[in-house]
Amino acid sequence: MTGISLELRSAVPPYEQIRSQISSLIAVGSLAPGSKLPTVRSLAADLGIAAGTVARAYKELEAAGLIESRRRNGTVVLGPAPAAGGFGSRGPGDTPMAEVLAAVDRLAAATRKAGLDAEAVIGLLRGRLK
Amino acid sequence: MEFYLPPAVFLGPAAGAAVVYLFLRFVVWAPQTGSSAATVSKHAFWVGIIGWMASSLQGSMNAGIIQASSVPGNYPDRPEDLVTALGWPVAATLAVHAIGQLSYPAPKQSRRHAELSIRRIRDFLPRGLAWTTAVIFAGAAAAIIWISALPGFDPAQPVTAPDGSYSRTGQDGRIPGAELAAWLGGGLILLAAGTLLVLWLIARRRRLETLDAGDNRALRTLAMNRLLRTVATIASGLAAIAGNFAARPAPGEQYNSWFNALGLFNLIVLLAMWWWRPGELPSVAAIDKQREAPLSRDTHAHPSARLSASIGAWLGVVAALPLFGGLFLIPAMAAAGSWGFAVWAAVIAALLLLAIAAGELLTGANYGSRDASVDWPQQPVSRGLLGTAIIGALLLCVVLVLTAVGQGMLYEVPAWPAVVGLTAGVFSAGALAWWAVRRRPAIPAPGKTAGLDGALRAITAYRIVRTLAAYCFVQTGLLLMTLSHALLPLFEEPRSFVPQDSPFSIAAGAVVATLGLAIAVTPVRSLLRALPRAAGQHLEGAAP
Repeated sequence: MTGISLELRSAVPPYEQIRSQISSLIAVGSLAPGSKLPTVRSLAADLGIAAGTVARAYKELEAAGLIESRRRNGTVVLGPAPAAGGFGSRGPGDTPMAEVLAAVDRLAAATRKAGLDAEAVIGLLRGRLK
Repeated sequence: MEFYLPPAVFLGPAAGAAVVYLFLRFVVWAPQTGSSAATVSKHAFWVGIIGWMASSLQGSMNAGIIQASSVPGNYPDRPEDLVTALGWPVAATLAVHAIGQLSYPAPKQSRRHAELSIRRIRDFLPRGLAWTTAVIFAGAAAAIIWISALPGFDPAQPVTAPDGSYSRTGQDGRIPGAELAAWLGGGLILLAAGTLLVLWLIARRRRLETLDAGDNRALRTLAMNRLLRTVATIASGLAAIAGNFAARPAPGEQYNSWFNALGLFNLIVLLAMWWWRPGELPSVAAIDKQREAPLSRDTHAHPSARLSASIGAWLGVVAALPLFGGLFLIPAMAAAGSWGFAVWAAVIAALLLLAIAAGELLTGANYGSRDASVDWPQQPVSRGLLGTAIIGALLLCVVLVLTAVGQGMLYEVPAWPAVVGLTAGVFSAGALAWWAVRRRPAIPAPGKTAGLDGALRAITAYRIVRTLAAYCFVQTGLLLMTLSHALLPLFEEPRSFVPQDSPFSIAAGAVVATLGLAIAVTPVRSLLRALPRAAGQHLEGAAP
């Protein structure tokens, strides 16, 4: 089951956390094209935040061409944005993608085990990826 | 069709809804321990209990029947009576379940989690129960359609010749079948639509941060189970009202008795739904599984302790047999007068107390020794249970006095001598059981099992006082329900020569009797866990 987490004490605004996580999940194929996202109200209720915050995240994702709000079908994933040398349209079942996802899971587990700050680890990762 | 809706009709239900909301918030919030899987489980349990209590159609069983009396009776046969008698149980049940879903706490932690999936009703619906409920709704709809074609008829008034040489008893009439079918059908449609809405609410409401994904999923299924079981009993209750309407003999028809087959259908549905287990949250079930095997099967436990646990299980059988046997004698007990149901309650209580006494004699004969010293517990019964028993006894005395005075004012044959006699019999059986536990030879329990004798006596004392407390509450509830008409003359001027039932008294009686049943099934697990044992393990008893 695909999920997102929100850290309210983070310096990153909640809408940006939602946007970036959904964007990443679409990019790595965890959210396949055509899959439906929960409604703004439902996601806001689960996260215990204002509906406007989720609506803003959805609006930015829609502007980026990652999702589309349809009157009858709700909010639907369109697919990953065209990436230069990125994952392209590969899904999570592809071997390189599976390896990356497994590595991310291991990194998350190691971060929690070490009690490190998530932002610090993300900063480290960002530096290594550059 | 005239219709009058009192302006303050929604005030009471709104206040009731607020009380239910605050209570459920308090249960799930658990200020002392904090919200957890256990408190959430308890919250779901109370939603089911309150919803079930609100679902009673007892006040509308004679809907559509016109009483054979020159003054207006208390059977709902006018639109304003029918809408409240049929509408409130349906609306209240649905409201309680909806409030249950809305009373879960919002996330509090700084770290929040959500799943990116759409929750649909079918993802959590217990299929077997849903199909059973659908069949019951279809059966109720068929019964309502059937009575829509039945004609109404006027009541036949009782007649007595001035010189007393001739008399004829009256016979109830009924409103046109189409009219009652419209009200019942409306109630059934409201129930079906409301059930779908609450199911949707259960599926869509926010996830609880204190539960993991498995528990969150199970909680929705559990809530749907409780809702479906309750609405199924309401639907079958509406069918029973239709059956009661259809079974009434027409004026001039020769009859000795009449039978409501749909009432039996209602009873079967009620029992089936009662036994349809809602399941548990996986984390709570895992904790239960970790606990040891029932004491009755624990080979490390002292044989007398195992016997005590087995007696607890057998007490359930002793109570269940006359309880369910009596369900088939309800018409006979109702016809016997106000003491009919009192006999039922007293027989069950007396049988239980005699079984407890027999259990003590068996324990003493098998494991007791005259040489061992008797270990009588310092406080054989907890203050809470003792207080409950005293309150129950006082409540029974007060209600007995009030109903006796009320019946005196109505020049009725008093019920109190029978009830007092029956209660004396029950308390005599209780005294016999108490004597048995006091006089039982002590059980020699050296070493690690020291204190076993006292602990076993405490368990029996608990069972005796629990039975007496439950009897007092149930008997009080039955009196309030069956003699509600005797209470009205005490508080207001009679408006007719025909005694009027008091809906408030009936509702209060139902609540008090339910309390009594809850007391009767309160298990002695904590006492069984505390039993001294040789293996040094903590034991969990399943005995009531």
